[in-house]
Amino acid sequence: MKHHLHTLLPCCKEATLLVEKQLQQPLPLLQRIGLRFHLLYCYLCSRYAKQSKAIDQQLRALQTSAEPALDETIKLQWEVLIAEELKK
Amino acid sequence: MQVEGNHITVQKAMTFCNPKEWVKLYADDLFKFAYSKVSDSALAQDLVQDTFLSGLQAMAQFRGDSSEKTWLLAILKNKIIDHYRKAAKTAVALDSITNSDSDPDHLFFNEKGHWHKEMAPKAWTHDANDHLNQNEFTRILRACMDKLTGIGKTLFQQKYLEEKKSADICKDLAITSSNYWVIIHRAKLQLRVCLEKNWFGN
Repeated sequence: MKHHLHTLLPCCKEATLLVEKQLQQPLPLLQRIGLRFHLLYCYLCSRYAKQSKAIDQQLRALQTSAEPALDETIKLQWEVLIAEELKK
Repeated sequence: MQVEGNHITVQKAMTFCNPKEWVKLYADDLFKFAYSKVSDSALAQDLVQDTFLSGLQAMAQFRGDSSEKTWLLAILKNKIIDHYRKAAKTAVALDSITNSDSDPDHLFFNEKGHWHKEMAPKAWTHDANDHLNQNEFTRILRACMDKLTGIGKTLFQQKYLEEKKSADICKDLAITSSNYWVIIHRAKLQLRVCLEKNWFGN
């Protein structure tokens, strides 16, 4: 019983962890109810949940953004390095 | 018989492997791949260089079953996994040394698990999905991600840049799933504060 009560009344630290978990996978029923309830009365965590979701979307978009090109001087260095190794 | 077998392998390798052309043919693609996995340009370069060097040493084992490129890519993948393993190991070791004193959760929450007033989320003045400033936002987001430390950074990169499943990340880095969530949670708390200071705060 005590365990369930704890699940149903998470503190902010636990609630924000559940927020992170929920962004990646569905939560078990009791955790879901506990989180929902916490977010109803805690405006800080409710704010955290919204912001965290927005960050998450931006992070997922990062994947497709451009990467830097390889420096030509590095390529020259590598060619020299390989030629040296082949001589050995 | 054995000697002859080896001889044939070497000959085959000679016909299939042409290291003098490697840089010209594959450097860009290998770098692109490495960068997409580690999102650190200097590190990606080191990994590609190591791949070429290992390739030279292992040339005799190259059988020509796959293309030269696929073969080099496989070597690079192993280098990347090794890198993450090492990073995870040092991070865990450091965490256990410094232990609870530097538990980053204390920075954000008091002993009852409530927000510290000064670390609690503030209302954001900008919209995160405001497309006008998208490039600037992406730059800050990347910078904040780079600032993350230890295993949190590793997990974030694998999760968001590689889009790996959390179960696979846990398996690769040998961490439990509850540890995984604690680490993700901490990293996100730090990332959020970094963004708030550098983007939303002004």
